[in-house]
Amino acid sequence: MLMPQNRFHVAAVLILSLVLSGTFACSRQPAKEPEIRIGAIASVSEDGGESEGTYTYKGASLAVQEINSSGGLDVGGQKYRVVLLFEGFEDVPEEAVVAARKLINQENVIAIVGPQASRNAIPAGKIAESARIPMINPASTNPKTTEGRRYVFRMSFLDDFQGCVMARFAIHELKAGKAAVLYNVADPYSRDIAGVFKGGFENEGGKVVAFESYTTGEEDFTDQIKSIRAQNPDVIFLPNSSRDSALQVQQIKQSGISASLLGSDSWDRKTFRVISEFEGAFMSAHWTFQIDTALNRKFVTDYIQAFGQIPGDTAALTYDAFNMLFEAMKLQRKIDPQSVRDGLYNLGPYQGVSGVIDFIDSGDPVKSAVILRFHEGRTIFHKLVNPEFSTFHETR
Amino acid sequence: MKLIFKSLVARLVTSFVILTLATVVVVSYVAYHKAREALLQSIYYTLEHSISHKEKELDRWINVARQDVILVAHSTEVREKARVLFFKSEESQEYREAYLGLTETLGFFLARMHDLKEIFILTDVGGKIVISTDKSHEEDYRPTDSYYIRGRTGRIVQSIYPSPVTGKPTMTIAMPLLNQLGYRMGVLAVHLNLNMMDEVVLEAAGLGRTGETYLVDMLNTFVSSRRFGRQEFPRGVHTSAIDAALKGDSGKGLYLNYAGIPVVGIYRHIEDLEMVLISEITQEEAFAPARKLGLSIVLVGLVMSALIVICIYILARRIARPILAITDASVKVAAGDLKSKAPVLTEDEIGTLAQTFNEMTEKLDGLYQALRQSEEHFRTVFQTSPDSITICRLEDGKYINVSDGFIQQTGYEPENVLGKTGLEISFWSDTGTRKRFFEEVRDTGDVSNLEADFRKKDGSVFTGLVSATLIRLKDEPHILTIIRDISRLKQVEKRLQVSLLEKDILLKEIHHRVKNNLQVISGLLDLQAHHINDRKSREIYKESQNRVITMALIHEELYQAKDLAKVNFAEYIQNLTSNLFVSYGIDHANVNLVLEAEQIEMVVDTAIPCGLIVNELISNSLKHAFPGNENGEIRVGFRALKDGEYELTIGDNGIGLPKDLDIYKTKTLGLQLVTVLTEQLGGTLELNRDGGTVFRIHFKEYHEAGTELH
Repeated sequence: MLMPQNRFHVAAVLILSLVLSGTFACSRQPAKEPEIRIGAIASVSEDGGESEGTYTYKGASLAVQEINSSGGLDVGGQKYRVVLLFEGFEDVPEEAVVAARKLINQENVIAIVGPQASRNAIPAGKIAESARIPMINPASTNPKTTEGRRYVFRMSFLDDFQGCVMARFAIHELKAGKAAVLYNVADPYSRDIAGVFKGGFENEGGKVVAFESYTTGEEDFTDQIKSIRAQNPDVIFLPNSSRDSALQVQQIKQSGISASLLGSDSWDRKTFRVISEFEGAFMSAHWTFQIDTALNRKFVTDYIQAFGQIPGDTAALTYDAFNMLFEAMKLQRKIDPQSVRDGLYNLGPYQGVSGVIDFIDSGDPVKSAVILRFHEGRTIFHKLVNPEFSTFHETR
Repeated sequence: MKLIFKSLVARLVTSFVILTLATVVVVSYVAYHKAREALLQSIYYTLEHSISHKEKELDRWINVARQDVILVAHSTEVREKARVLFFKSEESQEYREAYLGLTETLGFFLARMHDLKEIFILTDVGGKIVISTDKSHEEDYRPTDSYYIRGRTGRIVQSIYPSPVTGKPTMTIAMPLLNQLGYRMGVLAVHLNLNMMDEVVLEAAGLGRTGETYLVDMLNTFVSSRRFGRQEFPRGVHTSAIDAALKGDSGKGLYLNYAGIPVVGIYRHIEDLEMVLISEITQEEAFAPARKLGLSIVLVGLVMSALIVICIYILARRIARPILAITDASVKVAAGDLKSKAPVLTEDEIGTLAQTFNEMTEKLDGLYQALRQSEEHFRTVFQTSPDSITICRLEDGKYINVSDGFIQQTGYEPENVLGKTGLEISFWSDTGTRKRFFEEVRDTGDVSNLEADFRKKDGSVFTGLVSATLIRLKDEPHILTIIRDISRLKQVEKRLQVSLLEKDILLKEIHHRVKNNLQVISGLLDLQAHHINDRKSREIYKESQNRVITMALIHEELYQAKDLAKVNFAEYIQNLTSNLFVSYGIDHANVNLVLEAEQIEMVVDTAIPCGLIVNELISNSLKHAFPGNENGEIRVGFRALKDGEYELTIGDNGIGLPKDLDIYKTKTLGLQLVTVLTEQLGGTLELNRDGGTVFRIHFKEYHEAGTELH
């Protein structure tokens, strides 16, 4: 007859050894270095050449490298290594959505920076919003990107502002009385900012004599240019993609129109400044390296050192976006998506490279614009326009 | 717990309980697992079946949709009207008519084709929606939508994706819209009605209550439009099956589903749709039969166990009862009731045990009775014997029991003596004797007839005859001592000794007197002889004198000897022969006497005849054996033979007896005497005439009947 005590002892020993082996097995897993995963998405060109995506990537990696080389991001007393997950996509809204979903569903990011272009940012933002992952679209200017969304932010001004800036500039400085607009009806950005410009121009007492549209894929703008030429405008506003704008300007010049050319932040100034047809043209932008602040100088120096080229708007805004995310996390002392989002709102005025950014009650900051001019193959900082007369979107 | 060790029944019952429970548990466990395995295979089969079926259904559904799109795209009416919308001015009447007509046509198609949700037509350049069954989408530009881009070049099915416009899950089929000549005018696109697809996939199809089949896209999102992007899965749905399938594997297994419930599932990667089809059923439902089996085994087992335990309990009690009865009887026996009997209730081993037990108690009873009787005898002896009987401990000599005889003998009452030693009460007069007594008892085990003096209570001393032996009482050595008061005997002994002494003295006197008297007689004869002239007559007187002397010598011997009844014969012969030599004036130089006599003590009644014989024969020898003073030897021998017989030899190496002499017929007085005396002794006479003369006489010592000889 077994002593009951013996049996209990045996059982206890068995259980204990099971538990010990379990914990032992568990403890074998290598301790993972705590990391913060942030995604960046932007369109890349098929041939792998320089694109919005490359600038996004450079701006992002500079910010990430800086923080990691200083020992990591210190949130609530714990040092984290920041991991950048860059997902380039073909410049098609669907692909932007896929990229965003991939980062959210499979790469476990806590925030996403990008896309840049509003046509991609708007649908991607919808995904981020429903997944409650904070998204910053650094350079997206179309209001719809953040409209009605609590988790989507931008680093730039709105087209409502930008359009007005250019309109007022045309009226007051270029002394234009008549303006023509050629815009891409298939691109909401182009379409909307064209509308804002028109409204602003006419508000200031000007007259929009031609308001021509085209659609993506069109390359022959002869008809639209003919109409424009007929009206003899003082300025032509071309808020279109760089590719389209380049073709358009060439064709405009070919047709002999001598109006001043106005562009928006969609223009690729690096390319355009060396195109003779763009001589004397003006464009609005978010930032220029020529703005002389200590922060700016450091950024530009570091960027040149890292990548061997002068940074552009995209890189600067992306850089600011990342640093703002870091600040948000440090403020909240937590690294989950909700805390990041709350942090961005709670952060107060952030002094970035591209200016002061403050999310007061929406994802749209109050920001200044710069007006640039192409002259003799160079981009010249013309002036800084501050937003006294901009309109806000009151959204939450 | 203690109960188990005290009760046979409890032990048996507990053992059986444990055994049967263990068996039940093991059997049900094994059965459950075996059933589970079998069920698992069966479930896999069912799931495989289901998934294959679903895949086919999906395929079929998509094909139907495709066919529908082709139908619409090839419809002449659609083409005709679309052409108008593409190329004519929006304001024209033709346009308006075509628009209205096409709306109707498309609406008609949509109503009939349930798998379609929206039919719309886009321009070849710019992707503008010129007409749609969903009017809100008209005038939109979709230049970058991939179905549009790819649909321009061929028929395409775009697998489920979230619409960039609506964000809702969409599946779109697009194909070029060709004119009569086969040139592309624009693109016809159709958004599929995913609710229908949902129904296809989600249809339960015999998977049981919890069975479900669903699709997941390559980015971990539920495809089912109901579940698509549900807030519960903001980061998509991840299970081991989904993740494996997204890598391209198809397989099956047991894992946790999206809700964390353990399921049996099969996953399949559907390449052309870029989706994963998963079919699952909860493990709970799947293995319910196995569980039921296990449970029923457990239940049945428990019931059976309970029955077995009850039976065992009854059986154990049955066994225990006779044992308990025997135990009862044993208890009674132990208490002293040797008449108590155990009931013989069965014929088996226990019955045998009871019988044997009873036999044993009977024998015990007998022994006990015998013992009691013996004890009584002993007690009687102990108490009634006039001798003192005491028992004391060997270890310390303390008295533990004294008999009435002791009390009588010594005057000590038991209370004076019990618990004390003989030393304490100064019982032994001589403590040295006591010490020797104890040592001897301890060493040899008993002492017999030791005489010692003891002190009575009143101080008077008595002599006792002590015998003692070692006994064991209560496993300790004790001495049983018996003391007989021999004081009176001793007194008598003393008196006897005095009397004997007196007797001896008297006897001595008598011998002395007799000797004296005989010597007087001898003297008288001698005197008489002197008055006789005849030599021969003188000889006769000498002979007679010698004979008297012979007898006187015996009395002399006896007077001087310690033993007044016995004569040292050797010494006597010596004296006798010396006397004869002197009497006959023989010189020892001439005749040698060799005396070989054992040291034998002879009683008077034997000694006298022997002496007389010796006297005669030696006289003879001295007178006749050596005529002319020759040298010679006379030998006298006396020894004891066996059986109390003696041998007396008297011989010489002289001339020997005359040849014609017959000793039995001789007229010589001497020889006559010899034969007569020999007869008187009851002995035999032998004569050897070789080399001389040797008389050999065998006789037994004279003693009265009944007297012991030493």
